[in-house]
Order: sequence, then C-alpha cells, then structure tokens
Amino acid sequence: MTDETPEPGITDETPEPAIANETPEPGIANETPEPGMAKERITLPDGRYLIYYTFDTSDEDVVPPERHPEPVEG
Amino acid sequence: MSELRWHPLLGEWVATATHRQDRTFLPPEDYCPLCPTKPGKFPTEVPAETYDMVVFENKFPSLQRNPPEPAVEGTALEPVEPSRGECEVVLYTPDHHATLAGLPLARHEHLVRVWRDRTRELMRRDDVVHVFPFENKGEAIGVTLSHPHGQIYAYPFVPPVLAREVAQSEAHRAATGRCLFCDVCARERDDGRRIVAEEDGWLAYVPFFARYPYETHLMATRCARTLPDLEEREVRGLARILKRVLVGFDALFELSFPYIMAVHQAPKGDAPYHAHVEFYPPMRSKNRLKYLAGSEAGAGMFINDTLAEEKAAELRAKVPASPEPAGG
Repeated sequence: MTDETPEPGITDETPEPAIANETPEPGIANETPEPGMAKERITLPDGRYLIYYTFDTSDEDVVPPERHPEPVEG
Repeated sequence: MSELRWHPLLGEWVATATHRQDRTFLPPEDYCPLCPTKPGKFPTEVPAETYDMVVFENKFPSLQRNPPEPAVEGTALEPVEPSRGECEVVLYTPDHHATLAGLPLARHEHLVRVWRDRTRELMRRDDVVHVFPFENKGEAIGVTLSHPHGQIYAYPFVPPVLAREVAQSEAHRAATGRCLFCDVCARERDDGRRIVAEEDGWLAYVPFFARYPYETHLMATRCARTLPDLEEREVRGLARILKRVLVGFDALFELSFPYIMAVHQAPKGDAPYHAHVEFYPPMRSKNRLKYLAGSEAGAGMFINDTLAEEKAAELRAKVPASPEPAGG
C-alpha cells in the first residue's frame, strides 16, 4: 500500500441519526428548465402530484432495436 | 404503519412501510397502472390517453411529503422519526412492452433531463438532503410492475452507501490532496482492460473492485458533483453512454438483462464527488443468478466469482460503437 492511499480502516466515529425534518414546500416551480423541455403539473384526486414532461426533440423516426426475452433461471 | 426506526448496531435508519404489502403485483397488461388511461378502459395512474414522460408521487411510498406520526414510540437508544421525504415514479414511455435499452437515444437524454429537473426541485426542499434516481429492472430483481419505469427517492438524511462514498472521498482528499473519483478514473484509463465505453465527459468500466460479475460504472470524468452540475455536452454524453451500455447488456446473453441502476450524486454539502451511475446486474451467466448470501448479507463482504477484466472484455465486445444503429 502506498502512502497516497488512505487506509481502508473503519472510523471510530459514531454515526449521528441526523435527519432533516423541516416542513416541505410542495410544488415549487422549476426556475431552470432544461432546453426543449416543458412540464405540466397536476394534482391527482387523492392529492398526489403528477408531472407531464414533454420535449421538443422527437424520437419518432428512430427504430428501436429488437426486444429480448426475460431471463429464465436454470 | 410508516416510520423511520434507528438501527443502533449499524447506525442507520430503517423505513417501516407496511402499506407497501398491498401494492399492485405484476398485473396483466390491461390493468397496468403505469399505462395511459384509454377511453372506457381501466383508469390508471396517468389520466391521459398518452404521454411523453411522467413523474408522479408513488402511491405506496416509503418516504412521504406529509408522513403520519410514527405509530410506535422511540427511545434514546432506538429513536423513531416520521418517514419524511419523497418517493416518485418516473415513466419512461407509454409503451408497456418497451425497455430503457430499446428506447431511442432521444429518450435517454430526456430521462437525464428529468433526473436533473427533479434533483433541482427536490433538493430545494428543507426536508431533503439527498436525491437518488434508480431503476429496478426485471423479475429477477423483484419488480412488481413490468412497465418501463424508474424511481426517485428523496431522503431526509444521507443514506449509508452515499455516506460511505462521501467519507472515503473526504479521507482520500485529506490523505493525498486529490479527488478519489478522478484517481479511480485515471487508474481505469491507465490499465484499460476494464473500460467498456467512453463518451464526452464519461467513462464506462467494470471496476477493479467489482462486487457483481457485470457490475458497471458510468463515471463523470470531471468533478461534476450532481446531475444539475453537468454541462450540456456531458448531459448528451451520459445519454449516449447509458444507451450503449444498456444495449450491450441485452446483447450479452440475447435476453432482456435485469439490473439495478443506481444514480449516485452528491448530497447537500460540499464533499468532493463525481456524479455517476452504478449497475448491479444479478446475472453471472445466461442461466445463473448471483444471490446475496451469507457473506454479502450477513457480513457485508461481497464475493465475486468472476474477474472484472474478463467480464469487461465480454461486455465491451457487445457494446455498440454508436448509441444508434447505422442510418438511425
């Protein structure tokens, strides 16, 4: 082992059960949209959010490769 | 019942989420909750006849924006906290039978952009410390819905694997003055035998220390700590190398290759880090799975029955030189 590599030892620090518990702010608007990306946020009947992402660039003209079967353990 | 219980022996949180026992399990296609809702048909999670990509709050979350109070009382030894955070589902395509590997390259770039957008938004929340996109693919991994999708967890703490990576990175910086991730990239380049693919800003390799036979890492080659830190060329590079490696996986055994895809990025703070993607495929051959057994699950030491150099050569031979077929 060279002196450039730290020892793969275990630290003697006790992990802290630190946890962030501030009240969240749902539905913050995106201030930095990705190029060519648009999004529409809706609220589902049970209160959950759902976001539709749409993109300018199309993938319609590209043919996907063949599909493969799921593995079978033997 | 849903809460976080502290594991004092390991120093980590465990999420209790008993409502997840009732979640949908491998439904027939007509009742897939991740497909678009067709007129007169079964109402799915997505109230639209089609979509491009969709993100929504998981109906059966382990971590919640507004969690219930814990159903049990903790102690000083074993504290209990509300299961605060977020669990999102990311739908890659409305095509029920597609896989991420089979989707056109444009979708991989879109997915990277969705990950970046979600990271920015979730990391602005005071209750979120770390954002973790991932995908469980294939019944061998235990997926409950076959529709192509991934997930994003937003944690109120730094989860153990990330905490260890950050601690190692900081220790390496203290000992050498250098970036651990840059040094790993340099070592892989110097050796060369484990490299699988390369794109602008990204290196794909089976790491020297691989724990799974086909474990593969896609590593940002500069110190971009999070997905939002990536430059435009790196966003496109990640999409390209992701697509190429996924196509290579499927070509290995000519089957839809199962995997866990873990997207690692820095938590809040300023620890030296490189955003990267880690794949943990369970296949050790065409008809054999690697299980986590005594040493892995009970002691935490992985045993890899294969050589990273050999598995990298197998995968490299199957990874296409370009992410799109000729003429595509």
